[in-house]
Amino acid sequence: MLTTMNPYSFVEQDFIWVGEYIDGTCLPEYDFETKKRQDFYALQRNKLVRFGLVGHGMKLYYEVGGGFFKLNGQVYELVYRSDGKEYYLTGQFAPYNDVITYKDAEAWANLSRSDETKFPSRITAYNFGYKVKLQVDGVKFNFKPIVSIPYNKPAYFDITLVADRDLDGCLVIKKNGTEIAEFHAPLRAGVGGRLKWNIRW
Amino acid sequence: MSVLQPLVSWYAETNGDDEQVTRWDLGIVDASQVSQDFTFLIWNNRKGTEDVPDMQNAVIMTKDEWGGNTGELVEGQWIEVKVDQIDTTFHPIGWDVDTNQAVSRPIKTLGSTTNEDGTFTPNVPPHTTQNGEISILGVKNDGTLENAQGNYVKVSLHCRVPGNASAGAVNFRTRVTYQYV
Repeated sequence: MLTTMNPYSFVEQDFIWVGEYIDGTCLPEYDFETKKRQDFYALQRNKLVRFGLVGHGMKLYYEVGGGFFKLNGQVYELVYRSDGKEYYLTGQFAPYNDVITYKDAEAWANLSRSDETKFPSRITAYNFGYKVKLQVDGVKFNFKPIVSIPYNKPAYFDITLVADRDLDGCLVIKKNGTEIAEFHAPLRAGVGGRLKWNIRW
Repeated sequence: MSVLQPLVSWYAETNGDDEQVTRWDLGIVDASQVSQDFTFLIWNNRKGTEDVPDMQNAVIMTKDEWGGNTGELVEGQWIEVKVDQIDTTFHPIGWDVDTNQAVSRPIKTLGSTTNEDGTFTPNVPPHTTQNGEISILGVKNDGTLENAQGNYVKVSLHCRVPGNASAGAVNFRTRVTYQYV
């Protein structure tokens, strides 16, 4: 469904979220026929196979089986490397179905003089991703990758990672299987590390 | 059918239908003094007849009149905010020139809204989030101070002008950022 659907929003909002189920049906933010808004919290996570955003000719989603991000047809994997060992944060045998999506928005007021435009409210970014608890080669990770699509700025990954022990390693980003970025990202046991990375398309 | 999003509006604390806040006149504030408090309500979906999304992780900050981070009032964090039910004192907001980051304060309500569907409270199911917290509900409501306490936040601002401030009028904007699903 996500892979075959028309990648354009059909409501007055640049991107809409879509959850795809194992039976081939899906729950879009706005119903294709009635255009009625659907409840995100009604998403049936145990049936979910893909989740993401659709709009502007782009399909940005992740696979619930493995948590791989597929952004505009490119696969992104995230790996933590420490002491020559690679801990794959994507691709584990775990349900990556704890879905997250939200929009960043703002409302303005000009209080120091009368404002004819009243209080315009607008979306500044669209976000989606997930959070997951993993156990990889004996290390427990809490992993929360979010893809953020802001207006007037490049899209980026906002990655939060917590491990249950000290690790002096690197966060590695692979695109279509090839390593394209590496960041020194030392972790202290139980303390979250956070990295923002502008997506290289 | 148009998209559903939070509908943010600002009203005087007395909440009359014709009391939408479009102006806060600081009046003349002398250097080294604090202005009088200005109290108002930030509403989501006031008197709404259908539910809109809840506002999450809402914060308030000041900007200059062009939406940027310049000027004495913003950089000096002259405006101080106190959120009803949450804060026990006033906290400066604006821009920190040393860290290049906005200085903001969370706004949220602890109140509940009762409408024909039931009684709803931020951060009580079904109005919860897996990403931070619910700040202001978007459920439909009658727009009254009694029945719609989950739909508005009461905020007080004042302006503290330092002794070395330059004279003259200062214009600024208030910006509320939030998230919704």
